[in-house]
Order: sequence, then structure tokens, then C-alpha cells
Amino acid sequence: MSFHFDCDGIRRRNFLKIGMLGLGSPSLPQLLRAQKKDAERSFIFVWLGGGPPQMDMYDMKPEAPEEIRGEFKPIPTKAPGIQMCELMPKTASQADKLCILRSVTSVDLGSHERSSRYLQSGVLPVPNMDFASFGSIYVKEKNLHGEMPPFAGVLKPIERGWGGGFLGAEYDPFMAGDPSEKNYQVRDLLPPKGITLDRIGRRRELLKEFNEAWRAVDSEAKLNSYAPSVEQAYNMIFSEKVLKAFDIHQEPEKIRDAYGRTQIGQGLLLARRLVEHGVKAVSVWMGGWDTHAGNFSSLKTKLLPPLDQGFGALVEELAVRGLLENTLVVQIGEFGRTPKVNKNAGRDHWPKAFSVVLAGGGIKGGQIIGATDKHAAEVTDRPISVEDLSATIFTALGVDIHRVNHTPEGRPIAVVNGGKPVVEAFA
Amino acid sequence: MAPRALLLCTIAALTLSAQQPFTPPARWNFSTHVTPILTFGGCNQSACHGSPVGKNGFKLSLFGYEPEKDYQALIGRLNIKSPDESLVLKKPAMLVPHGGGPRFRKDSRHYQLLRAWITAGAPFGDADAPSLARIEVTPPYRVLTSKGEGLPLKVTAVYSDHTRDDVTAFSVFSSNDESILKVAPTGIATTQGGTGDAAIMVRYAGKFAAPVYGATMYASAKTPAPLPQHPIDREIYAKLRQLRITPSAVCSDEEFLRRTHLDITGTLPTAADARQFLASSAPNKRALLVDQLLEKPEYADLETLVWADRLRSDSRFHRVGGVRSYFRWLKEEFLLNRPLDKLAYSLLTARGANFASGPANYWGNYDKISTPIETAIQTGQVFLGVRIGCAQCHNHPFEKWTQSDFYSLAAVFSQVVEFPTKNTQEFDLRLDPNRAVINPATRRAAEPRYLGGEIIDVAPGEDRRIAFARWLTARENPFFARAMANQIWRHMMGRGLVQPVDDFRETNPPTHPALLDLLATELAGYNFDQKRLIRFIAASRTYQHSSAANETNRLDFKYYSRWYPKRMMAEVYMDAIAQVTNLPDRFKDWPEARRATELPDNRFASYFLDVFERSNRLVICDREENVTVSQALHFVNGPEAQEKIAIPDGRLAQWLGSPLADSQLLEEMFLATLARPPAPREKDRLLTRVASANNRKEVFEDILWAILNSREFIFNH
Repeated sequence: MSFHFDCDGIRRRNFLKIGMLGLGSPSLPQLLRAQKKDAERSFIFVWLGGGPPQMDMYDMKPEAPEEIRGEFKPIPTKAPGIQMCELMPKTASQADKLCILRSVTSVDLGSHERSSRYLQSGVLPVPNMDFASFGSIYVKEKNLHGEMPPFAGVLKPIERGWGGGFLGAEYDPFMAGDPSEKNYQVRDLLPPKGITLDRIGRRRELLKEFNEAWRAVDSEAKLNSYAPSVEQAYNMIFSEKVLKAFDIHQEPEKIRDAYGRTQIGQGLLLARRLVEHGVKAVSVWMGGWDTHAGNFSSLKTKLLPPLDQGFGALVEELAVRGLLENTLVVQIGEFGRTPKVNKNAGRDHWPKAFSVVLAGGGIKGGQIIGATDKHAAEVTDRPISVEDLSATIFTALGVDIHRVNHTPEGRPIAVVNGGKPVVEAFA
Repeated sequence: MAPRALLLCTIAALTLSAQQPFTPPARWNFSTHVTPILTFGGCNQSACHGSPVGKNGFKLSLFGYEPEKDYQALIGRLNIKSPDESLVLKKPAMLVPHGGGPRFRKDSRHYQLLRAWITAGAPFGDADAPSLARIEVTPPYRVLTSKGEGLPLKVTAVYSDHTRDDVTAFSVFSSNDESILKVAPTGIATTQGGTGDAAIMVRYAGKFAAPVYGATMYASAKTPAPLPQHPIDREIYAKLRQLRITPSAVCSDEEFLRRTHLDITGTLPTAADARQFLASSAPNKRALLVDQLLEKPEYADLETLVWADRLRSDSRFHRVGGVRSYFRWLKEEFLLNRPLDKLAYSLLTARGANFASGPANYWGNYDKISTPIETAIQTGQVFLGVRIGCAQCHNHPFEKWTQSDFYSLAAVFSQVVEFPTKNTQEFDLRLDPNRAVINPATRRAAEPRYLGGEIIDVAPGEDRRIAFARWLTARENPFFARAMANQIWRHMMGRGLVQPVDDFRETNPPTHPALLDLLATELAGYNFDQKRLIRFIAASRTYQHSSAANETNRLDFKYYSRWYPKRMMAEVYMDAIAQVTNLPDRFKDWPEARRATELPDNRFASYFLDVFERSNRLVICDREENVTVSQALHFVNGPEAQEKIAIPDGRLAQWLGSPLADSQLLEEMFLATLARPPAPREKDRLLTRVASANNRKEVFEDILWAILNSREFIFNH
């Protein structure tokens, strides 16, 4: 038997043995089950750039003094005993499918950039290189290729850390743009004006002749990456399925309205559409959460209603269409916000304790994990590190968290940098 | 990106048994006897107990650099009376549950040595006990010649009292190229079927070595006779013979013309250039061409771009005023061909306001001056060729630079302070001679030192950057000439002799050490005039190798037996399309730029430049050269090329409106894009296509489009 070298070295084949030794917690077999049916998992990563306020959304403190509890009141949700913000009725109606991690705790890294790099990759940022985003690692580890791009990005990335990093640009998400635009279409998927598909086909043939005539024998990796990429590009251009997947205009008006005619609403709808058509990882980026001033008015007018409508519709629809079981949804930002409201009616950065929401992908809904103190300031129960969160995400996606990738210089980077999955999150 | 699996920490099998006789040492020393076991077991790596917060309450120093602390951490987990009950034995042997899994077995020498140490009372050791001086690895370099052949390595510890000890079983091994040699934890390296050299990294008790071994799967090499006599070729061909790799032939004039244009000026030769060069019968026409290209203003444009990448000139850091002054200064440096030592000296000793003084931008970052730490990291990567930044956080397992070296370098730059100017986005560099940098490990001011050398002792109030810059740019400086020569070599050859170019270290040896020394000596001998080094390289047969591979060098990516194709840089590709179609791009807000290569800032909004991966200038690193799906989609459906090809006053419209016959038009098109006439069969095929098309304009548009998207066009080859 070969032994695994990393710490927390619980490789799948070691699981049972360790369990028998009495080390395993009772939920390890459940984890095992979660890892087994991993083949078709999809991943929707909803990024709230700027840092969403935990105590105004999923971890409300109605008993706290006004300068902490803020302006909003909690409402009951579909899940008994779980409350959330009154501005999130749609999300509340799906709470039975949500697992709310209230005790995520990060490191104070100062800037949005560094914190975003941390929370998008699960690895503490270093100055001289970029780590890979969760979606990039997922498609790399599962070797996902096909007619559809395996990893897509919807709307615009906010801070660095959203792409393939050291794994290379081939693991960047395929950028789908902003589907709320009136005549939305994906860049370069349709031929330029005045060029028919027929002519594209003739050019393809010509290009093939040129390329075949030149330099047949070569194993240069960068030279060789050309042919499959061009092939994939043509396959996408000529694929009804790909065109259809990105064609949000095919959605019934009723459904488009249900998600809300907003950037995030249509973005989440496109994410669902892409997953349905075989895209394996989708990142959807929503900005504007850095509410140093006017926290409550921003939340009320610009942030919570569109997010709530879109996110509630996404979870509901994934469930109705039978996709939720095999789709992991994560709603997350780079940190939380200060419990105490500042003089500009804003809240500042707070990495010490904040909430992350999980749904689907083998996650058990209707539950809250962890707790913070009466001001949502410190974790009082079940601290979950960013590495633990990363381990939870990859476990749900069926990725071996101990696998190690190497940078081009040979530096080893583990999929998860030493975290343990939150086992109680799993059904 | 060459995937070099360098398994620093992941070692699969730890199944050493204790068949060898075991004698405990006479005098114990914690750091020479116990630390290696913790390193061997991986206990002190960053994912385990070497993490800054330890693991499950047990914390070791990363890679065992602080033996006193590790000793304190360990003694609480020992049972001197019944050693076998000690947690430090039971955990790694998995006699009790261990989150880190099994590390070594009860019957291993590691277990026994640790047990013997505990039995001996777990001493820390005497201060005057012999300490480890170095490790030696045998045998010396050799080339293995069949697949699956094994080479046992022997690691000998040499102590300060000259005693020696076989520590092979306690050493950690890894190969920097596992397609050539894999190495087992037992120290046996085995050939894997790849041809080339591999460095085997060996670690024991904080010391390391990186001996190199070769393997070849070829019976013999065919080398030209007589062997080329250029000093570069002598080095390159000696290695090729050793590894039995047959080099490619010399490239054609067409290839040489296009290659040197792209490498030296970042432009394509025009059809007229091509005609003239191909027709010339001058015996030294290649050398003459290189001389001409080096005198073109486009040479300065390309070098400015390359250096702006390297120096991370970026309006986010330097603002528009800063990138412009930086850009203008760099361009002038290269137009006047100021030598590289002067360039480095100007940057490192700059003063003044960054909107007025170009080199002052070297010291800036986000509207303000960089910290001494940031400057140390940048100077390490750009001018010393070392990634000393890693030592900011930890002593590197394979690197001699320590945290103290790092802070001593940072201290060189600590006197620089920012003085506000009227413009809030600008900074003014002044000197405050008394400012210091605190080394967090000692909590004291770090002593400024030349990297790995003496204290920089300047008179009170003096600028120590001047002393540092003089030291750095001296001919005999061990870093500068080599780092610069390696960068120039990489630019010309597609790969650094040390790769990545900013990562010189003993455990990342150059592929051709003597060649690197030679290039560095040449460059210094030319008084750092880089044009002369470019000429020297371009004159070699090695630079003039064809990029077409043969059966024995298909898989060669580092011995220069063929010329490695390079994808055009984003800016160069954009300009190449503009040049061929005769439709220059316009750059809003950057009127001084006529071509993308001349853009002073990489923030200029352009999807084309983004998708072809211009440098993001956030980190100093090589550009990506792979072709991605987004790029391919942009080739196929992107509007730029289509518009430029089809526009009524473009080059193709001129050709179509001229009296050129179809075959002449084709020839013109090929010369302007690929610097060669069409091959006869190619010409026939295309003329047939033209003849059978019902729209002459469209079919030529399609041909030009296909050329601009072809591998032959996109790659410099």
C-alpha cells in the first residue's frame, strides 16, 4: 500500500482503515458517498465582490443595539428556526435547500485584492504568483473537456484571482459577458458582419490546408495548443448546442422576469442555462458590496432585491428541474462587514466572521452551521477557515483535496492547503 | 509552459526497512540527527506541523530552520522512561491515529534513530559537537543510455571535524525533470525514457545539493562536419553529442529574415525587404541584416516594450504621468543604445519626481513609493535574477538565501522617502539617510549588505544605493552580467539557459553553465552593449537552426538542437496584421503610439491585446505562449482582421485594383506575410481555387485571412 504524504492525509482508500482505527468521525462514510457520485457535478460560484454584510443578511442580530443590528428586521424562512433579512423573501422561501455557514473566518489581508484572491482560490495569496480559482481547479482536476467550454464566467470579474492562475490561461473561464444587455450575444461566437457561415466553412478548409502544409512534425506544446483550440473554436461556432446554451433569448419571458431583469438576475439565469447544457463550472460576479457609506440604502435599493430575486429563482429552478442534487451553488464574498455602523451609515471590512451560503451538490439544506457572538463580530462556535471552506467545496465536487499541482517552476500547490471539509454540511 | 514536476514535498512511498545495521551516533546533536528525520517525514512542511500555526497543537519551524524551537516543541511529546510510548514515535508510525497518516514504520531506521535519541535522554547536543558542514552526492555526472536503468546515489554528510557519514537513508530526493529521471526515496534514480539532463535535488538537515545526470535514448547523433566553431556552438554541440541529439539543419534565408525581423524589431519584413534579401548573393548578408535591424527605431520600440513589462510600467502604479515619463526614458535609452549597466545604475539611483524623471518610477507603486521590501523583490528579479522575495516569509528549502539576506537587501533601499508634490498622483523621491528596515525575526534594524556579501558601509548621510549600484554593475559582479545575458538569450532563443530567467539558484542549474559564463563574460566585455551580444548570438549556427524537428530532437525543449517557435507577442501580432493590411491602428489617448508595440501603458483598452495575453504587469513573469480557445475564436470571428482585410483602401484592395495577375498577387501576399514566395504546389492549389471562385475579391480575402490565422504566420519560427 502506498502511503500518502500530505498532512491530514486521508486519501479515499485510507478512509475506511482510519475509520476503523476510531479516528473517523461518524459522518466520514457520508462524505465517501458524496465523493462517489461525483461524475456529473456542476458548480455555480456566485461572487459578491466588495464584501457582503453578514448581519444584514444571514446572521441578523435583532437583539443587538441599533448601531449594530442596523435598519433591517429578520423574517422567518421556509426552514424552521432559520431567519434572514426581510429584504430577502425569495431566498427565505428556499431556505430549506440552503446550508448557511455563519462561522467562516478569514485572515486580515488588508485589501480587497488580496482577500478576493484568497476567497476565490482557498490559498493565501503571495506576491509573486497567482493561484487558481475554484472553478479552474475543478475543471483541471476532472479533466473536463467537450463541445461546451467547461468553465464559463458571467458578467465581469471584480478582483484578481478569478482565473486559471499558475495552471495557465487555458483554465480561465470562457467569458460570456452580460446577458442583461438588450441584444446580448457572446463575443466572437457569431461570425463578423457580412460573413456567412458558409464562408466561415470555406475559410476553415483553407486554414486547414495551410496548417497541414506547414511543419507536420513538431511536439512543441505551445505550437500544438493551436490546433485543438482552433478546432474547439470551430466546433463552438458550428454547434447548435453551444449557440443555444448561450442564447438567453430562448428563455420564456416569464422565466426571465422571475429572475429579475437585472444584471445579476439574468446572470444567474444564464448560469442555470449553461449548467443545463453541460457547462461544468460557472462563476457569476456581482459587484457593489463595498458599502463603506450608505450601507442600508445600497442594500435596500441596489443590492439585496436583485440578488434575492435572482438567487431565490436559481435555487428554486435548479430544484424543480432536478439539477440541484448535482449542482453545488456557493454564495460568497471576500469578507464580511463591521458589526458597528460607521458615521457614514456604512460598514467597513470584517474578515473575522462572516457567512457563506451553500446549496445542492450533496449539501444538506435547511441548516445553519456555526455561530457568532451577539454582535456577529467573533466566531463562537465551529470556526470554519477558508481552507476548510475550500475542502468542503472540493469534497462536494468530488475532487481529491490532497492532490498536488505544480507551478511551472515546480512549486507544489495542494488543491486544498490543509483544510478539512465541514462534514456536517453534507446530507 | 513546460510542466516540470518537481516534487518538492510529495513523496509517495516511505517503506524503508531496517535491514541495514544501525549504530547510534556517539555524540548527539539535535539539528544534525533529529531534524533530518522530521524533514524526511515531511513533518515540518507548510501543510503539516511547519504551518505558521502548527497542526493540532504541535508546531515545528518550517523545514526545520529553528532547531531550538523544534526541540522545545518535541520534548513535551517524549517519554524518556519508555521511549516507545512517545507520541513522536507512535504518531508517525500510526500506532495511534495520526491526521498526517503514516510517516515511517516501526522497523525503519528513522524510528530507530529517533528512539535511540530518546533513550539517550533526548539531548539537544553540545555547542561544540561537530556540526554539519555540507553534503556530497556521488557519483559525478554521467549519461545513462537505456530506459529503466537505475543509478544509486550516495549522500555523505561531512561534519566540521571532517568525519563523514552515509546519510542516504535520511535524505530527501526529487528530480527536476521526471520525464528523464525519477528518483525513489531510497536515492535510486531511474531513467524514464526521456532524453536530457535532470537535476536531482538532495536535502539533508538544511543542506542541499543538486547534482545533474543525463540520459539518452538515441544510439548516436549526426553532427555536421566540420563542427561549427562559433563559441556558442562549441558549447551547444558538446552537449548535443553527449546526449546524442542530432541538431536540425540551418534555416533558410526566408526563415532567417522573418525570424530576425520579429526578434530584433517586432515587425515583419515587407515584400520589398524580402525580395531584396532573398536576391542578395553577399556572403555575409545575414550578418549585415542583423546590423541593419539593430539600427532601426523599431528595435528601440520592442526593447522598450520588453523592459516596460519587466519593470511593470503600469498606469495603476505610476499613473499616466509616470508611465509616460518611464516610457520616454526607456525609449531614449534604447534609441541611444545606452549600455545595460548604465540603465540599471540610473534606475537604482534615481531621484526626483516620477512624472519628470523616468527612472524614478522604478521606485513607485500605486501613487507612492514602494517599500524597501517591494524594491528588494523587484531588484532581485530584474537585476540579480533571484527570487529573493520567497525569503521574506521563510527560508527556502532549496535556496541559500535566508530571511536575514532578504532584509539586508531591503535595508539597501530603506533611505528612500517620498516627498509630496503639487500633483497628488505624483511622488518625489528624496533621501532620508537614517531610515531603517526592521527584520521581524530579530526585531532589530537589518544591516544593509550586498546580496550574500559584505555590509554596505557608507559615510553618514550618504546614499547607499550608489554603492549598491556600483557593486551590482561591476563587470565581476556574480549576478548582473549573467542575469542580463540570460534575459537576452531567452529573448532570442525562446528559453533561458536558466529558466525562469529570474530564478537563478543552485538547485535550478543552467542547462549549459559554461555557455552562460561565456555570454556573461562577452556582455561585460562589450561594456554591457546588448546589441553586440545580440549580434554575437545571431551569428551562431545555434540561433540559425531550423525550427523543423527531426526524429531525435522532436522532444528537445532545452538543448537548442532546433530553434523553438514563439507565438508572436500580442502587440507584435496586432501590428503585424496592421502592417500587412496597411491599416495602422489608432490608440485613443495615446497619440504618440503609431503601433501597439509603442503603447506606453498596458492599460489601453483592447480585447485583442487582452485575449492574446499581453503582460498584465502585476507580477514579473514570462508571457503565456499557448493558444487558447478564446484566442482561436477571436482569430476566426474577431472583427479586427476581417475589417482590415476587407476595407476599401487597404492593402488587399490596392493589390486587387492593380494590374497584378493572380499569381503575382499571391506572391506579393506571401512575401508580405510569410517572407517567402508560395511553394509551387501551394501556388497551383490556390490558383485553382481562385479560378473556380465566382468572386475574386472574396476568395483573395479568404486566402489572406487564412494566412493571418495560420500557425506559420502567428508563430515566429
